[in-house]
Amino acid sequence: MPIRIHLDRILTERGMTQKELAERIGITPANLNIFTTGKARAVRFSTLEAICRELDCQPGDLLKND
Amino acid sequence: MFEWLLSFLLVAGSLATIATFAVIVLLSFADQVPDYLTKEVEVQIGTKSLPALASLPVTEVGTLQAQLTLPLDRVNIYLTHHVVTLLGLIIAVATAFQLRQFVQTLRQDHPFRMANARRLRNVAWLMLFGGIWKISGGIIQISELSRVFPDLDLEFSVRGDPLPVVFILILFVVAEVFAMGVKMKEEADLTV
Repeated sequence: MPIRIHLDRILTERGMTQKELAERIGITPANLNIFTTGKARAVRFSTLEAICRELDCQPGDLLKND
Repeated sequence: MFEWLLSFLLVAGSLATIATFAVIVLLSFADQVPDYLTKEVEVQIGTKSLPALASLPVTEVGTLQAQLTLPLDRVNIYLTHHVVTLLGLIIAVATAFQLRQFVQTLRQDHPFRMANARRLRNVAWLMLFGGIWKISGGIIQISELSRVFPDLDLEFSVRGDPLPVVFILILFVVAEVFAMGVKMKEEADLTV
């Protein structure tokens, strides 16, 4: 998949775990893991917005087109 | 409850299949059919079999029903009957097996899997083959009976009941809709 997810890097910079982020944005850790590992077929705008709000970043920081 | 019924049908069908196969093996090496395997068949006889009516200018009187006891020295006709029955039983057992596998997944997390879509398609195909085999088997048995009773004008008719055909078509449509549902669920599961 050409679009890479750089969530792990940002989580490390913010000192947050995937489990904490999942709880804050209201999805299961398993669901977030699908996003992190690039297996997701689609991402809702609401989820992307919630992640960016919690991590104080832009969507472009999370998603890179290789 | 339904699973128990399917399991019972599976076991009963499997036992009947094994018994029929055993009879076929027995008959393959027999010169004469054993008394306990005597079979009677119900046949329809055309009016040409009635010499009295044959000379009269009638176009249609109707068919007669007769019950014939198959002669024990005609092993081939018994073999034909049991081979036809065996294939029908195999189709029935395979159908019960697919349905039981499907019903078992209902007790697990969710039934919307590609394996279940394949099982529904398999059941639809089995029903189609079963319907075709029912007609083919009837034709085969009548042609064999005609050789045993050459003086009788035996008739084979396919009753014009459209319901089985409609049912099979519905099964195919349901199988495709189910497969589409599985794909949609997979998409939804992988949407974050």
